[in-house]
Amino acid sequence: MAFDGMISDKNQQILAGIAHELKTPLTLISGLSSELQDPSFNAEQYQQYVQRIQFSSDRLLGLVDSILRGYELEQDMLDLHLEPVNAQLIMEEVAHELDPHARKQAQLIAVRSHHKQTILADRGCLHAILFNLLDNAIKYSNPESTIELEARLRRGQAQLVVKDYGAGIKKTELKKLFAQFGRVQRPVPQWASTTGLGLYIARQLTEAMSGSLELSRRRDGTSFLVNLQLSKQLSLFEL
Amino acid sequence: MNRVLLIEDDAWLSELYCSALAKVSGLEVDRASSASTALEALDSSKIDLIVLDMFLGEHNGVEFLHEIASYQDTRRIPVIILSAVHKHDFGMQPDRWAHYNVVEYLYKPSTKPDQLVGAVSKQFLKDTQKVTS
Repeated sequence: MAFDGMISDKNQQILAGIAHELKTPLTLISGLSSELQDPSFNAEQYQQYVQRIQFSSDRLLGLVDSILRGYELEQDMLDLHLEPVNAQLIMEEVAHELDPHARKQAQLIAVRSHHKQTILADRGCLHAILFNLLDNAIKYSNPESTIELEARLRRGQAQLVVKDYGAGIKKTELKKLFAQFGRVQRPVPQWASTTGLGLYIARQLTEAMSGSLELSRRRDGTSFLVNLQLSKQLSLFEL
Repeated sequence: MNRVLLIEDDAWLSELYCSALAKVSGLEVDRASSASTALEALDSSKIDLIVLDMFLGEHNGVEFLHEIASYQDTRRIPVIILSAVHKHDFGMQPDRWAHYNVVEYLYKPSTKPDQLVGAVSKQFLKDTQKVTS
C-alpha cells in the first residue's frame, strides 16, 4: 500500500500544517548554529546567536507541547488536572517566553490584571492556550504595536484577553476562521498559514476546561477572549 | 559592486542571511521584510539579484514574482527562491519559474547560510563569465 493511502487527506493537511509551523524555529536553530562555527565571530555576536538558538528551541518546544495536547484531546487521552491557577503568572510566563519573538518586529507585550482571583484550570493547558493565542497575535500584529494580555472579570467568570493591533480579520474571513475550528472541517492550507490549527487547539483546550473562546473584531485589530471559571478556593496569591 | 535584495519576513533569519552574505566581497545587501517594502527598494536602487522568501505575511511570493514580471525594469532581475515550502507544493508548471526568472530554488530548512552565499556567488560568477567570454 502506498504511504499516501495510509493517511487521510485531512490528516495529511494537518501534518503539513504542523511541519510548516515548526520549520521557522528549526531553520533558525540550524542556520545560527552553523554560523557559530565561524572563528571570526566576536563574543557579543556569539552570545546573541546562542540566545536566539535558545529562544527558538523554547518556541519549538511550546509549539510541540500545544500540538501534543491538541492530539491528546482528539484521542480522549488528555489528563486534565484542574486546580486554582494564578492566571496573571501564566500570562507573564508566556509573555516572557514569546517576548524575543515579538521584539523581532519591535512589538511590545503588556500584561495587566484587574482582579486577583484565581481561576480553575489545568496549568499546562492554560499555558498552551495563551501560547497559541499570543504566538498568533505576534504573527498578525503590526510592527511596533503593543499586544495586550489582560485578566478581568466578566459575568462572574474570569476572562483572559489577548488583544492585538493589526489588519484584523475581515467579516468574510471570520466565517472561514471559525469553520477551521470544526471537528469535521479544519482545512490547513498546504503551504501557508497554520493559524487555524493553533486556534483550533486553543479553543478545544478551553472547552475541555468548561470554558469558551470568543473572538471580538475591532476596527484596529482583534481580541481573543478566553472565558474560564473562577476558582472558589483562595490561593496564597490572594491572601 | 553587485547588489542583492534579500526579502525575508523573519527578522532573525534576515539578519542571519544578511550577515553571511556581507562576508562576500563586492556584494551589497539591501533587505526588505514585505512585498511592499521590497517594491520600494526595487524602485529606489538598482538591484542585480533578488533572494525571495515565498511566504511574506499577507502576500505570497508568487504574487510578488507576478508583480515584478509586469514591470520593464524589474522583469529581468534573476531571483533565487529561499522557501520553507517545497517547490512542487506551489503547483506551478516548471516553465512558469523560468518565466519569472527564477534561477535557483533553495529549500530553506536544509539550506545553511554558506550554501545561500554559494548560490548567490554562483550567479555573479556566471555574469562575470558571460562578460569575459
